[in-house]
Amino acid sequence: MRHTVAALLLLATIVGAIGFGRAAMRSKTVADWAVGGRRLGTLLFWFMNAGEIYTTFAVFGIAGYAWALGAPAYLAFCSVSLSFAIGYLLMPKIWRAGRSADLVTQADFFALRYDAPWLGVVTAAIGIASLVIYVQIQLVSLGLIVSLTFGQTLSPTLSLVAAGAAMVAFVLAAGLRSAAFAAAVKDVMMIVLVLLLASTVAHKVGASSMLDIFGMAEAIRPGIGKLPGADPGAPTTTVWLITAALNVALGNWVFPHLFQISYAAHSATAIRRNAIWQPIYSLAYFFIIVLGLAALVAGTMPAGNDMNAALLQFVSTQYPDWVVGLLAGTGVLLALVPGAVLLLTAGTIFTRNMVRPVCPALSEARALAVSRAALVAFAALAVWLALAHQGSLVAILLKAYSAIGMLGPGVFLAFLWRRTTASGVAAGIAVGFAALLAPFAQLCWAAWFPGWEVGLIAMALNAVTVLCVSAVTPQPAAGGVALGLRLHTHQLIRPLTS
Amino acid sequence: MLLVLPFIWQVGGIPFVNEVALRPFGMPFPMVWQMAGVVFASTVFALVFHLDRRAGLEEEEAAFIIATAPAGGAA
Repeated sequence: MRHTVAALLLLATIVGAIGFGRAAMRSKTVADWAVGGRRLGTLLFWFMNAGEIYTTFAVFGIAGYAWALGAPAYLAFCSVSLSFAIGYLLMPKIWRAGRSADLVTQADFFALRYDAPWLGVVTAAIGIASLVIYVQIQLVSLGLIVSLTFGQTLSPTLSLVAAGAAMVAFVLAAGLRSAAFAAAVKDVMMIVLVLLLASTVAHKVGASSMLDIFGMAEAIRPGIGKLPGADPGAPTTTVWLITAALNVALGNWVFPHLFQISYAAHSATAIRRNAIWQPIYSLAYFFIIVLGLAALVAGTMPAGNDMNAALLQFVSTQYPDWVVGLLAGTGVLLALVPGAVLLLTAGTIFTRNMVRPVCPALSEARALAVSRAALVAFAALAVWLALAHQGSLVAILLKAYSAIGMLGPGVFLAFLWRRTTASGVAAGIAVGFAALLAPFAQLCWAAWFPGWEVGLIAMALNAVTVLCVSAVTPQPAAGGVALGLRLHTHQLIRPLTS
Repeated sequence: MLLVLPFIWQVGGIPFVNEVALRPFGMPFPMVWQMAGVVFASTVFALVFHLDRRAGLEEEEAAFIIATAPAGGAA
C-alpha cells in the first residue's frame, strides 16, 4: 500500500512537471532559462523562495533536532525571519546589479564588480563546493526515505547511490521550469501532510491536545524546552543559538542559487513584498517541532539512533500505510526538487565561470554537454560525501553555511564600500577558510569561544582581512564599483560581454 | 535602521528568555518568544515597506526598470 501511494504521487508529479516544462519550452537564451527572463512577479517569486527554503532539512532535520535535543530546534524560527531582514536590503541590490549588467550567476557578479575574472573562477569554485554540500543534505534524506520504504532489503550505500541517480535523472529529464512545477506540488503536499499529521498526533501519543505534548516531553526529558536542550552537557547553548542564527542569516543570501533567484524577480518591489510575508510561512515549523517531540513522547527509536530518521520512523509505526506512502512520496519530492535546482546551478556556474574563461571559443552545444557532465560529477561527489559523513542534517547544513559564508564579506562589502578590492576579497577568503579548516584554529576557537558557531568566527576574520587588504590595494574600475553601489539610471553600465 | 529590531528580538533576547520558566499555553517560553519574533519581524518589514513607498522608492525603481529594459543584443 505505502509503495503504491508513494509511487502514484511521484509518477503524477513527475509526468505533470515534465509536461509543464515541455509546454513552455520556449526559452531562447541561457539567461531566459536560468533566471526566468527576469520576469517573476510576487506570487511566483514567493514559491521560488519558499521552495528553496523548505527542503528536507526543514522537515526531517528540524523534527529530528526536536526529537533528539529539543530547544535547539528553535533555530528554525530565527533562520527565515532574520535572513529576510538582511534580504530586504540586499536582494534588491543584487537584483539591480543583475539587471543592469545582465548577470546570470553569482560568479558573474564577483568577476564584474571587482573587475577580476580570476575572482569569478575562485568564487565559482566555492559556490559549487557549498552547493555540493547542500545536495548532500538532500541525498542523506532521500536515502533515508528510500530505505524506509523498501525496508532493510536495500543497503544504505545502495539507497544513497539510487537517490543520487534519481536526482540526476530528474535534472536531465526535467530542467528548471519542471522543477518549479514539482516544487509547487511538494509545497502544497507538505502543508497538507504536516497539518494532517499534527492534527491527529495528540491522539496517537495519548495526549489530550497538541499543546499537551510539550508538557509530556518536558516530563520525559526535563529541560528540553530551553537551551541547551535535552542534554544538559550539550554544546548547543544560548551562545550557540545566537551565533548559529547569525551565521545562517548572513550566509543565506550568499548561496549562488539565491543570487539567481534575486536576478529572476521582475521588480524590487516584488522582492520586498515577499520579504514581508515569507517569515510568516516559517511559523509552520511549530507543527514540525510538535511532531518531533511527539516522536520522543511515543518512544520512537529510529534505526542506528539516527535523528534524521526520527519523524519517518514515528510516522511509519503510528500511522496507516497510506499516510506513510504520502509522506514517503512527498519526502522524495522534497529532496529531489531542491537537489535538482542545486545541481543545475552548479553545472551552469561550472560551465559559465570556470570553463568559459579558460576556453572562450566553446560552442553552445559543447557548453551544454560540459554542464551535464559536470552535473553528474557533482552528484557523484555528493553521494560520496553523504556516504562518508552521515552527520545530522542540521550539522551538515551549518557546514554548508560556513563554507558559503566565506563569500559573504565579498558580497556585503561590494554594496557597502567602494574601496573593496579583488585582492582583498581573495585574501579574506583564504584567511576565512584557514580559520574554518585548519586543525590548530579549531582548537583555538574551542578554547576561546566555547559554543560559538565556527563559521561566524571565520566570517568575521574574513571580513577584517578584506577591509585591511582592500585599504592598501588599488581601487577597482569605476564600472565595477557602480555595479555594487547605488546605481542611478544615468550611471548604467551596459553588459560587458565576456 | 528599523531592520535591526528583529535581530535584537530574536538574537539579543535569547539569553534572557531562555531562563523564563513561564509556560504560555503549555509551551516553553523561549519557543513562544521566537514565534512572536517571527510575527514581529514581518510587521517590521511591512512598516519599512510602507515607509519606502512613501519615500518614493517605487517610482525610482520604475524608472530603473524602464532604463534597463532589454535593448536588444543583451547576452
